Amino acid sequence: MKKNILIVDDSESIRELVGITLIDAGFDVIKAVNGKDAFKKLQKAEVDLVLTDLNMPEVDGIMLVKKIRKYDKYKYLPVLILTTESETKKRVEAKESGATGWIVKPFDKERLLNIIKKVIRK
Amino acid sequence: MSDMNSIYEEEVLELLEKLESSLLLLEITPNDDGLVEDIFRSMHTIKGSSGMFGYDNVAAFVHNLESIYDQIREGKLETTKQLIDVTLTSLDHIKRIVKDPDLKDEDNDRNQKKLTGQILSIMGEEALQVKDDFVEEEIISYYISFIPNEDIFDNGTNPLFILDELFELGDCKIFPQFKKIENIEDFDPTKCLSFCE
Repeated sequence: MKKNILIVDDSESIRELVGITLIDAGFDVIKAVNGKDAFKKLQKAEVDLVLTDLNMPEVDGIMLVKKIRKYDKYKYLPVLILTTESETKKRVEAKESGATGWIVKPFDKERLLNIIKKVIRK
Repeated sequence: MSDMNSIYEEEVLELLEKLESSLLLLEITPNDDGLVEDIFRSMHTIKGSSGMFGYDNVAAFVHNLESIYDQIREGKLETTKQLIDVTLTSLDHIKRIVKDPDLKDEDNDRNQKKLTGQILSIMGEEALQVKDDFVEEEIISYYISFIPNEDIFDNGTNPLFILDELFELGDCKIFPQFKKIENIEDFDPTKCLSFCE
C-alpha cells in the first residue's frame, strides 16, 4: 500500500510542487494550508508522515508539531519541517517540540526523497 | 511556461496585491503588529516559493526586504514613511522581475541593485553582510542504545564492526558502558558484557 504524506504549506505553489514530487515518487498526498487545517485532515486520514512549513497563519509549524505530540497515537508519526528558516534557535525549538527532522527550502528533489525514505515507517 | 510556473506567478501576483493593501494600511497605522506580521508572512512565502521555483533573483531580493519586517516584528526597527515608499517601489520591481527572472532587462538589473542598496541602508550597516540561508543541510539525530546479547561472540560476531558501519552513516558519538561487569575477578572474556549508547 502506498504511504500517505500530509503536506502543510500556506503557499499553493509549494504544495503543488512538493505534491507532484511525492506523487511521482510513488506516495499518496494530502494537502493542508496551515497547521489548523493539517490537524483536521490528520484526524480524518491514515497519515504516514507530515511535511510541514514553519511560518504559516493561524497555527504555525511548531504549534502543529506540539499539538501532534500531545496525542499518544501520533507519538511515532514522523514530522519533517520544510522551511526557508535556518536559524539555530528555530531548529532547536522545532526539535524540542518533537519534530523528526529539518529540511531547508529550496530543497533538492533527491535529497528530500532520501530523507523521507529514511524517516518514514516501514 | 509550465503549469507549475504559472501557479507560482499567480501566487506571487496575488501576494503582491495583498502586500500593497497591507502597506497602504500600515502607512495609516504604523504600529499595527498584525499588519507587520501579515506583511512579513507574505514576503516569507514569496521568498520560499521563488527559491523553490528557481527564481533566485526574486528570492534574494525579497529576502532583504523580509529581513526588515522581521526586525520591525521584533521591535528592532520602526516603520517609517521612507520604508513604506521603498517597499511599495520594491513590489513593482518584484512584479517585473518575476517576468524577467534573469534580469536581462537593464532597467530591472539596475533597479535590483539600487533598491537592494536602499533596503540595506534602511537596515543599517549590520545588515550589509547578507546571510545566505538558501543552502543548508538537514540534521537528523538518533539516540541508539546497543546492548548485544552476552553470547554474541559464540557465532563469531564482532560488535565493533557494527559500530564501524554506524560511523559510515554519519557523525557518531559512542559512549561505552560497562555496568554489566559487576566484579572484574568474575569477568568472563567469552561473554559480551559491555554495551554502547
